Amino acid sequence: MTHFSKDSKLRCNAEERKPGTHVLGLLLGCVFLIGAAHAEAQIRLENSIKKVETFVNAQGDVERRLVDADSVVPGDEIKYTVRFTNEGADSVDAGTIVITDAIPAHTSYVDGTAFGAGTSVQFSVDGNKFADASALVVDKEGAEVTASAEDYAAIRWTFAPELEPGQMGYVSFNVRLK
Amino acid sequence: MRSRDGAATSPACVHSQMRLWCMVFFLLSLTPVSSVFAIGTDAGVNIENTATVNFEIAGSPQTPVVSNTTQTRVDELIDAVVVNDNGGPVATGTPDSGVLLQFTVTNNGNGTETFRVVAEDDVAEGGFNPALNQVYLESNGVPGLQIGGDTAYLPGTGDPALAADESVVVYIESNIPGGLSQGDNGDIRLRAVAVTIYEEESTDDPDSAGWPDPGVAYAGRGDGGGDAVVGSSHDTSNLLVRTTGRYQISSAVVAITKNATGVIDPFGGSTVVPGSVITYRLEITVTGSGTAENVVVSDVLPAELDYEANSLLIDGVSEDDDFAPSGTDNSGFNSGSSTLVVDRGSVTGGSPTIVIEFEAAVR
Repeated sequence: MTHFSKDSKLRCNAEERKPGTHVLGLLLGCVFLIGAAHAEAQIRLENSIKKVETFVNAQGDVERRLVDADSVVPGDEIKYTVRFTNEGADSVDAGTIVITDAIPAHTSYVDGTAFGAGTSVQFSVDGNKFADASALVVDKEGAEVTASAEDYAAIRWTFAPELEPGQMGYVSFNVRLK
Repeated sequence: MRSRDGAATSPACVHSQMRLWCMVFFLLSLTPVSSVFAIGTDAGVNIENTATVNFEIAGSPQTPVVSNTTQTRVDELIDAVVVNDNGGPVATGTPDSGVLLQFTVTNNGNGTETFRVVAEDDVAEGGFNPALNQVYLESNGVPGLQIGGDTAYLPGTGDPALAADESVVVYIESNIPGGLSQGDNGDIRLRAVAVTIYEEESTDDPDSAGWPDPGVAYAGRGDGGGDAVVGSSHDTSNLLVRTTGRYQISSAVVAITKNATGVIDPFGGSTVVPGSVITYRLEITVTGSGTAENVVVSDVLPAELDYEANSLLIDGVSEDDDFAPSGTDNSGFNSGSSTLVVDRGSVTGGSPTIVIEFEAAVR
């Protein structure tokens, strides 16, 4: 159930190209195999984007609200929310869900905004090596200094609990358009 | 700052009682001020993001799953800044003609935008109204106004299109009325308004009711196909798209130039290396019918230059480095502030050019 589904997909594609196969048989086969393949996508990952708008409310206080982000201008703050849902029949092992998201090109991470209930957060300056924010260093004019928010290239969340079928969680972070 | 022969140098200043002004003397490098307002991501760019999840079930790593890819488009931010390049009031006679002011218009937005440049000569802030004769746009690549070389401009015809971060130098040529008094001021106010705003709002006047607030968006009018959004430089409480330049009646006009006239390096050549000695020459000319009083020339040497002791020459005559009372006058070199000071007192217009020479070694 775990690893064979990928092969199944390939087989399904191969059968499609085989001449003379009965169409109904092919469809049935593919339906069966798609069912199996569905188990592979045990977790569904949905990414959404919002713009963080600052406004002054009726009391004269500055507030922040999330609005649609069809378009942005330099200086805008953008919030990404990634929701993960266990759509399979099996529990996902505790401590094994690792979500990785690159800071988009033309943006920089807004310090302190990476969030995710039940997760530990690490950052990377090269997109490969991840470490706690305090342990991340960059080379600046020949000296190693602790990386700052603008240096981050990617964020990684590790979800500690087990994720049972039907359960979901989410992680989020904000960036600012350069 | 570097002079044409590469020697490190510094701007020199002249103070006079009538006015206080400071110029950078390498007029060839009289270029727009450096951009302090960083421009952002280009209009039309698509910002994409995709997340990935790795996970295990019953101890077996699963094929990673990727999310949908979010997309958002970068709109055009309309922003501009108009800067007065004159560094203070421009001295003029009364009457006078063809007197210039220089401004720089910079597109601080993130897309290409066409600007309508409007000069006003009836600004109440000054004491008199200059008579605006002609606006010119720098176009021939030669610094300074060349009539016949640079483009005579009228708003609405040949409005300059500027790419993001691009600048255009604007010259204002005015005539000055007669019968004015010493110290009288006359102002020219210059604004640069994006044609997109002008077309959408039917006004280019920040003082009109139709002027848009920052954040107003014009659907589909942006460079790159998105919206055009009015930027913060249009905020009337801190308007950056308009500024004022000033003419000032002065019966004596002080002009100064500075050049590096020679370099001797430690090897007998003329390269600028540590140890090279550079000879500087400052020329101060006072023109006009009046007298410039309390003319003090000061030149702050940058950290990379050491003043060569007792190298000061004024009109070819050696002058000691001390100030009064230990010296003979108020000229010399203040090592504490690394400033060369030459005090000439009152200088009548038409006096021979004052020539100051000194040497400095490169550290």
